[in-house]
Amino acid sequence: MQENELNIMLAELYRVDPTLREYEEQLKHLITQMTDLRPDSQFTPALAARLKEEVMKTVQQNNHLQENNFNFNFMNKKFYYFAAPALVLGVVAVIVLLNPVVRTGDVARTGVFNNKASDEGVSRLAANAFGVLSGASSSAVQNEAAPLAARSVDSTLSGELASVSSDGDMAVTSGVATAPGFALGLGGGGAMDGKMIMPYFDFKYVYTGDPIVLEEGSSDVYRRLKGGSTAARSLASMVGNLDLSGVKLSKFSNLSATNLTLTEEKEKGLMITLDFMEDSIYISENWQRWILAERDACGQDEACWARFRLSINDVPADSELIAMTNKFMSDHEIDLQNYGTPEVDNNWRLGYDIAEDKNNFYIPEYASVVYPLLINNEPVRDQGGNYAGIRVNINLLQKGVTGLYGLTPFRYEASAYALETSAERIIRIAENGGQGGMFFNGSETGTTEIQLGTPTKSYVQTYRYQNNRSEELLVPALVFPILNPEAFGFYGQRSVIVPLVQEMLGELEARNVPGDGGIGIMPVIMEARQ
Amino acid sequence: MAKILDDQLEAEMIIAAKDRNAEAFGSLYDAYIKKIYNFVYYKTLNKENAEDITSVVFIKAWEKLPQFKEGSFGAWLYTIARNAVIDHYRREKSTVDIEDCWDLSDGTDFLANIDRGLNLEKIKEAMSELSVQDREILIMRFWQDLSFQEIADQLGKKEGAIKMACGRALKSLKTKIPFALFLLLPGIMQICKKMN
Repeated sequence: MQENELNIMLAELYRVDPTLREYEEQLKHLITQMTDLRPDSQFTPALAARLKEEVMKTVQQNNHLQENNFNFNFMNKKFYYFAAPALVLGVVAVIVLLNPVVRTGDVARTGVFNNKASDEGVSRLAANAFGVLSGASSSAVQNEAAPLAARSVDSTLSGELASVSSDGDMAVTSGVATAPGFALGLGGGGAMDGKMIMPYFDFKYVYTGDPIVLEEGSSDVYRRLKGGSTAARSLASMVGNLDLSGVKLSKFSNLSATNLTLTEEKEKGLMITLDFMEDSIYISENWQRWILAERDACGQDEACWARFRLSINDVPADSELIAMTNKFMSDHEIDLQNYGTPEVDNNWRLGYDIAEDKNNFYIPEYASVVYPLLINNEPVRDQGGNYAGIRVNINLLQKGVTGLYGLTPFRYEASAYALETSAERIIRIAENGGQGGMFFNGSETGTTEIQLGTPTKSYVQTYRYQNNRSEELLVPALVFPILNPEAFGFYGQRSVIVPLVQEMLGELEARNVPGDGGIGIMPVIMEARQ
Repeated sequence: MAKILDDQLEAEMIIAAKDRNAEAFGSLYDAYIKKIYNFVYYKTLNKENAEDITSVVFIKAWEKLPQFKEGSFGAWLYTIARNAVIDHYRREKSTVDIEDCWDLSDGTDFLANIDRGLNLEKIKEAMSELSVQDREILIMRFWQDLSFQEIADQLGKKEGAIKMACGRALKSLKTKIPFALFLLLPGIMQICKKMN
């Protein structure tokens, strides 16, 4: 197939399934191989003529017989009147006898080939197809910990571990402790120090942005399809006959792989984990190949450790970081068709900016670049208001991209839900903290006003636990930026999220009422502070 | 691929052939012989079987033509061809649960070129995991060179549905064919071309 013809054909396919474009190179290879290997059918006009002669001979004979055997056909009809019931019974019997075989075949095909989830793209469902969403916003609060925890590993944990003293005390170094007002321990024991306790204070959100005009009607909520990977069963079938140290996998039934981890066995190699349950790919360092031998040998030598601490001047410009991750994505042919303009996660810089002793501020060893997932050209955000999508990590000390997470197939179902039309109600909920917002009862430092700016529309990742599975929903929402985030400091919020789906708002109104049901500070901590 | 009979003429030939006009049926044969033969051949990968089965297809078509009512004649003919292939293998391998014979085609025509035969076998193996219809669409598009519209006509489906199925099949196929094969094949093809 000529290149031009191939491109035209692919363009036709892209029009009906734009997600195919992300596999363009593979598809071109595949189609080229298929056409190159096209078997020669050896069809010739001579062959056609010879076959025609045979066929037409039979046709002529058959024509002659039909003209002379009308009565025979009639008799045949009479025969079938009697024979038909017996034939039907016979066919039914055969079907019943063959049923186990047919069923086995069908099950295999349903699981491996006809799974709807194996198709990329968005499947449209009827309105309200995901059931009641009102529980999703509260589940979201519980699930918020997951992405935050993951981020902390990338941006702070590694470096803070480097600061752990030899007796295992997890106290954070003084750089963070001198940030105004508070510092936070990572847990794991250690002396109770006033510096380790986050102060609590009353605060109230105040909307200071422009008037909000809401769209009327309904909007799609998206549910990510996962767990339908055909690869899981294919992989299990590939290894299902192995005899591993006396364990014969063939003796187990209905095997399916839940994950697969592969490692690059080379210097600065990577570890690739395919999670078939979540349909997600994680890439991280192959730790055995990213060793900083000199630092590992530092022992208790603080000066030695200090040599490996980054200064603010060691952090490359955003453009440089993005260039590194772009190259990584390009080198590994990771398709970014469904992702927006990458952005460096600079949340840590706020802490740096407000730190009084900047020389002792811990600069994270890892930087992250986020490629925001796009739905309807709108970036998706997590519960913290940060872009959600593919997060690519860079080890600044060893100057290399260490991997990514959040890479998932673009497979969603869409269902329309009614939107809230009252801007007043939305603002009221935003001023109550929105989705996942918290109020602390009691005050040490007086009430702090948190200013909310004009919101932007986005889709927000929201999690719902249903049928023993965690569902990921992308819900249309307004994201109110916090205009004075320094009031929260290093660990604070950057935005307030308010879903636009009407049925999700009731519980948010009922919750987050200042002075009524807010989170109280633990007495032991109160005592420690005194 | 240009149509040998235009729609109007084809409709007239069908009416005449239903009235037992052998000459009209001969015109229909001329219009479809290449498509049907190739369709059968790509399912069996055996010239002798393909010839036998193709003859059976047209003879059956002649016999059943009075029952043909409306719709695509080509689609109807392909259905006969599909069933004829299954019948052929069912007769030969009566103990096997035959759905569409793909796994049974022996590909003996390719033994002369071992590399090509091995690679074709890999493609065949990967395609065996596709649904019958998806596989047929790929064969019709890439081996028979039919346009999506022609395939839609022959299978009695909408063009968009065929494209969607084709995309789905390609997407599925790319995960089934080892990536190493992609890397190896161009080199192998170069060597084959030089040898020829």
